[in-house]
Amino acid sequence: MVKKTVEISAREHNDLIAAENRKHFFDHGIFAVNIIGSPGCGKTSILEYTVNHFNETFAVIVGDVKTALDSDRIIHAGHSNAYAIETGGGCHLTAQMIKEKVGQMETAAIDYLFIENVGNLVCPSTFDLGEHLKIAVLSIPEGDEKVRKYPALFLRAAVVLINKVDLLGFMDYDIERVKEDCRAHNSKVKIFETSVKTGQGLDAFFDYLREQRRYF
Amino acid sequence: MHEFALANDIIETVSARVAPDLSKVSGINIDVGAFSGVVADSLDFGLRTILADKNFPDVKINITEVPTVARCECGNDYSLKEIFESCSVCHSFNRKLISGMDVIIESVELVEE
Ligand SMILES: Nc1nc2c(ncn2[C@@H]2O[C@H](COP(=O)(O)OP(=O)(O)O)[C@@H](O)[C@H]2O)c(=O)[nH]1
Ligand SMILES: [Mg+2]
Ligand SMILES: [Zn+2]
Repeated sequence: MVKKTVEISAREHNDLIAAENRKHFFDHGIFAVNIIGSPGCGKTSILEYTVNHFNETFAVIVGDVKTALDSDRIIHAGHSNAYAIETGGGCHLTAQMIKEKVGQMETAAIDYLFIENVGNLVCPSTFDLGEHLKIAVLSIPEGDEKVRKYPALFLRAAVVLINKVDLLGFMDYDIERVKEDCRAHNSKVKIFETSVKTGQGLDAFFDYLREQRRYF
Repeated sequence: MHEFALANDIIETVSARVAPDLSKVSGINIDVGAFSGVVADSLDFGLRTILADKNFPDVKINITEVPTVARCECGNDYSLKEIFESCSVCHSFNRKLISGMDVIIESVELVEE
């Protein structure tokens, strides 16, 4: 028996494809965003809001275990450039799935790509898709312990949206503690308090995206 | 169960980078970092299932859980198993995680001809 020390990342297979995606995005001037959160935290709602309020050219990819219902919602919101990836049971998107979908898309004229990952706080967090920004979405009704329970995501997310803040008055939710928890995971994290109902925080989030795209 | 997807990627990587002929592989040693987001038992199960499926049920899988190492702004390196462990010297949270965030194929054992 010979032991061959290799020290290769187990992610290499996915990461190599992610790197190809990132290069493709860069070459086409596309700033790509990977949006991760629990089912029901408001990912699709934020994207519907984006369709109506983010005055830039972009495409949307929505990953779901089954059905294209969420990408249909984006199309109904008035945006034709939306695509579904059905993972057929898979709990996260992979770089390969994004590569295949982007290959079928018209990307010449877009400046941003929003990817709604499969609703899940664990599995999507460590699969690089080639995005420039990983965003975690929390929401008030989920309770204020999510950050502590899912370190893998909050260590990696550059941005956290705390969504449904319009419901803050109705629940016991210690938002300051949630923010502290986020900073314990990533001292440089950028946090936005948002509501799709009132629009709070979303313009500031859009401005942040524009600023990030300028330097990517 | 993203561990299953990762197990698939590991087998792909071992055959692409180390041993195109998997029948030459007798063992795979893997380090799972504390904040890799991966459950070692599930990964172990995934790897065994895939290898058995491919008709290599005898490959030994050895998974070691390794702590995550942080480098504090004060310069101190410390290992942590819990995210709310601050620097052991200055108690700051301003740090960079420098290892143990990932899953690494540490080594592959090959049968000699
Ligand atoms: N009150 C309130 N409800 C919201 C907000 N954002 C989303 N929702 C509701 O939350 C539910 C789930 O939203 P959806 O966008 O489908 O979540 P997803 O699973 O993360 O895509 C829907 O009924 C939305 O109307 C918000 O900011 N405030
Ligand atoms: Mg959705
Ligand atoms: Zn220190």
